[in-house]
Amino acid sequence: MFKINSVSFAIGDKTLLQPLDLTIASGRVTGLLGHNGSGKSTLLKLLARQIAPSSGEILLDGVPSNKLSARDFARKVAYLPQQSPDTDELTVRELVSLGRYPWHGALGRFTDKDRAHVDRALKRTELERFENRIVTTLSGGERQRAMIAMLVAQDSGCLLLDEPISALDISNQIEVMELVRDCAVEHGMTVVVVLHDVNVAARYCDDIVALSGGRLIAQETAQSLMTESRLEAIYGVPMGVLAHPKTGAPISYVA
Amino acid sequence: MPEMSRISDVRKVPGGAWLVLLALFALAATVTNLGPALADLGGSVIFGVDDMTNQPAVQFHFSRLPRLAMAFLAGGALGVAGALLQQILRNPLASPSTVGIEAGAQLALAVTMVFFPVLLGWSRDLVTLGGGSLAMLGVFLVAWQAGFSPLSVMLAGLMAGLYASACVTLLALMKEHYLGGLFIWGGGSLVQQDWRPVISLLPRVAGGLVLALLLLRPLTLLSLDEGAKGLGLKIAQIRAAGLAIAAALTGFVVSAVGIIGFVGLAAPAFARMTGARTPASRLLLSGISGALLLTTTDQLLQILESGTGIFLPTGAVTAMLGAPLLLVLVRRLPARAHRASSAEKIAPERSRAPVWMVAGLAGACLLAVAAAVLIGRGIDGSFLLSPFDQLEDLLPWRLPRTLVAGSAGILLGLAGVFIQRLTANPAASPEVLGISSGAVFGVLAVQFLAAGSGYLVQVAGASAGALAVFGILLAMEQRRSRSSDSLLYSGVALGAFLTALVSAVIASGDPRAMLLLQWMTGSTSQADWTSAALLAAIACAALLAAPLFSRVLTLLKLGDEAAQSAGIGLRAARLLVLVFAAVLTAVATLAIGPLSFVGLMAPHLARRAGLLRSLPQMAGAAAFGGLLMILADYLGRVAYFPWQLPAGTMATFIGGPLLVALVLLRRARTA
Repeated sequence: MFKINSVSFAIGDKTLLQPLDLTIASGRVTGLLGHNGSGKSTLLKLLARQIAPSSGEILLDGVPSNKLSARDFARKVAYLPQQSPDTDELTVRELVSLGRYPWHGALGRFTDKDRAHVDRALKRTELERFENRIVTTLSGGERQRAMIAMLVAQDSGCLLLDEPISALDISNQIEVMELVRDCAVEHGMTVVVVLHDVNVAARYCDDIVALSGGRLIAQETAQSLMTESRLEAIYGVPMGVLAHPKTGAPISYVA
Repeated sequence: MPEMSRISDVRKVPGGAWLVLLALFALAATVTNLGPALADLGGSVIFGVDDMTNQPAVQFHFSRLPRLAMAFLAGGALGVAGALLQQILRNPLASPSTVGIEAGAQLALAVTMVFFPVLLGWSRDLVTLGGGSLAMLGVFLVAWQAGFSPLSVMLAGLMAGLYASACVTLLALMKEHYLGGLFIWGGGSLVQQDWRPVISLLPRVAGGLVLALLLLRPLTLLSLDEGAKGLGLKIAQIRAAGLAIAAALTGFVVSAVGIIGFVGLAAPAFARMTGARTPASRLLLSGISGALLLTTTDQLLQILESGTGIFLPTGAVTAMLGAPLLLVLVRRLPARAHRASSAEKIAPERSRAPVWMVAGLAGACLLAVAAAVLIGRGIDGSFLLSPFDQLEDLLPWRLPRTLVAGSAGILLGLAGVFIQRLTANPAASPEVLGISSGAVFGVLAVQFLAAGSGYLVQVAGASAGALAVFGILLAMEQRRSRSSDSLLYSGVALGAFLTALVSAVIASGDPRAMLLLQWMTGSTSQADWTSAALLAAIACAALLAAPLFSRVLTLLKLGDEAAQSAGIGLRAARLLVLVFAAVLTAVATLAIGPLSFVGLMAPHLARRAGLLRSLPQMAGAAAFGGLLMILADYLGRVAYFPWQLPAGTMATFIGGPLLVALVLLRRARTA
């Protein structure tokens, strides 16, 4: 999906991301891990074209992504910023409908096809019964689901999510991550998600990309990452791994 | 939970009753005002007048009817402009009045009226549009430095208003024959002589409305903040287009009828109250509300005028009514945690030798005093160094005023540091707290209650006014000491209210109010040895007392929580700082009038010089303040020789662009 060729990013003389080569596979969930300031959000914003790289280029399906028009790009890639917007008093349905903008544009008609996509997004995120609620009256998890529903309605092949679960409690975290996983497994979307919790990443991601100090330090499958030495390299503290008592899946802890 | 979801579902019938009520009120006012005449003249008078000698009919058809239409149209345009600005800036305090468009348009028109009258014949609209857009950009640049929060935009916008009015005043003093017209026009009069202005305004407003409606969908997307870009929206272009439409709508109205303050703020607020939720409904309902609000106000004023003979320009009255609304809106803003603004994040390099820096600045002040005393202009207008043997004669003319100006600058610089640190807001300043406006109001009251009274009575009035505002601020602060920002809000709203009141009185043309103008412009030409000694003594005392606050101010700037956990009794500390700053402001205002940006600029200049900690910043700001005022006073003395320009207004005139330049320079360096 994405091919990143020696991309770097700097503000003034401060380099936030060292030159980086990376390929992100289609149809898989890729987790971006790293400590605070490691450059993971920067990388995601580069992929989302929210910021432009200082050097190098990013290929989207073989095409330099900065060659695409804003609308064409939005038809292929959807982005959820870390900061939830203040949606004023929009209802859930109105919010989700905004996801159709790349398709109908500023003046085009809101067609039945658009409506169908909105309906489907509401259904897939199980938000149908909330569709007329004002977004700001929803709980944190429901609000995040509504934001993702907007991205689903956007009908792009790729979702870029910046820390979608950091402000949520455990049950909501699971709910949102199940939804994200579902997008890739059931609907063949490519998902890149910035996460803090390595255990969540191991459970829901196929691949992990780990950054530290603006450098790429690991790119591998989630399973192979879950070893003590690899984790210590990422977080800089001694880590241990044990098996989940029921499923046997690896779980990490700070040793 | 069926009940729960019903409660928080969209209200199907919004508060439309409010709108109906407002419409009925507008109708009632209109019928009361125009009904009797219409009944006398017959309905045909609406469509035309057959007999041009029939004076009441002519007046009805060519003055009162177009005035009604004009109020409706102008109010609607301002309402739409306000709603646009609020959606684009995501800021419930944005309006043509609070982002500086109106002020810029006014200034541009005044400047062209005096210097390039030919441009007005060519296109009045383009002049106001250009001025308004420029002012708006300036406001955004300044507000950007302060993190672009709703409050900082509003503060910068109101400052732009102050600046524009200072410049207009300066113009009025230089070209007296334009004076009356400028002020009435500045007050926003809807009086009409024929249908032409309405007919030319109508297609412009309609065009703006259509363009705004075409932009509706992209504008809605702006609700998503960062996410809007992810949907393929060209955010910058859409914002620019929307702002241009808002500026154009405002510019058209200003060029047709002058400044109608705060309708653009009140209308969107009213629209929200009626339950307008989506950007589309807000845009339309704001337009309707604006039209109805202005019509109601204007019709009521006409009733008042015919009943009592009191003439008040409609725009000044809406500004007066709008200021308290601002207070309400501002208090409804969600309380925000203290955030370091971008200005603080990119701190200038800290000076390695602050003591030498301050010493150098103090030396510069002394040098400036010497230069101001020694260098004057001769009879032929040439600059000349006065010989020492003439000094004895010249000193009483030159030294006292220089001392007064310098001392006032020192006081304002100190007060500025105090207030900016107290509120942790780089856009705050003593002028903003409304204390200077209180002083103006006090003098105005004295003029009306005891006309022809002497200088001392005026001083007493000014002090009483300043103290009254200060008391109100304190009372509000006592009731809700939640955050330092609430203090600033109250000050801003109070100041705006009093300023509007004063300009309404001035616009009424009362000769007593005209006397006020002289003092408001901040003239130092009447300074004598007594006043100079007094002010210099106060400035010295303030300089000695200020360091006592240094630690408290350092902690207060970290935010309330941090200060409290460091063991500062918040309420007492804030009260003390506030009292000190208010007294300094009041004294300085009495000397150089309410219009100067010194209190805002001096602390910024000190920061730029690398004086970042509170004690060096105080010293630096005091020195910069003194230097600026001495310079302003000197320029006022020699620039328009042999006439004199008031130091306070000169300070504003020089200071405004300097402030914007400072901001621009920093941008350029960090970009």
